[in-house]
Amino acid sequence: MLASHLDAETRYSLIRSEALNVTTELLRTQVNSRLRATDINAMALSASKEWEQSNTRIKNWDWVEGYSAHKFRYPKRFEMALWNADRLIGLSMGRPTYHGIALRLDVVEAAPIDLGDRPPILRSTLLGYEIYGTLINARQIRIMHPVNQEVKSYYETYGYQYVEKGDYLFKDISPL
Amino acid sequence: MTKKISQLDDARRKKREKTGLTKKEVKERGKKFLDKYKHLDKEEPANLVSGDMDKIIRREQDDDDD
Repeated sequence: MLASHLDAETRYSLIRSEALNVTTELLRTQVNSRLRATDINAMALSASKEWEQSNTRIKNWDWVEGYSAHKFRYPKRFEMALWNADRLIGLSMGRPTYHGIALRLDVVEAAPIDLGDRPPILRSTLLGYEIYGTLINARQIRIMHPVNQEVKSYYETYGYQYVEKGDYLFKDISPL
Repeated sequence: MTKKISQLDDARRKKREKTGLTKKEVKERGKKFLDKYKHLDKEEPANLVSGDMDKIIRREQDDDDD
């Protein structure tokens, strides 16, 4: 690993940690005291394996392999495991664009609903990306590759606009 | 060379100064965001999924990654 890569990993892990701490504090006080946001740790990856038992999952993603590839390549990434008490209810990971103008939400998946009821995840997830994006001075959030029209329309209700070339939705980070 | 924690704190402080927002202001912004979109929770699709994990695993870059 290059020294510059290691340096970025160290610096940005502190910012990630700060963003996740603020996110958890806000979720607990404003949404639901059982919610918390963590990095994608061994416990989260282990819990994601249970999603493979779902019969309704749209994508049979292997988060262990996908996260490993993403983590190795992007030291400035943002990642978030969302928990309701001790149950994993969502995973996501993203990264700044090359020039740091936007923060991409590359992959997001909610826990399959046939494995048990859970709270919605998007508002909590986007909160984390808004905070991390603010801390790294990004001006925009991009949600990459919506899997179907239903989720694309849902993102649009949050004010996101679709860009066909590139297959993503974008929105400026909320002004104060 | 390994950096000291104090150096990392300085770097983090400088980064935050670039945004011009204090931690308190970041929290205020977060609260407003949560309030603004609270009503959308009930409309969330059951299968909320986005992204291309295969592309990440194959280490492919998007063309428009500015």
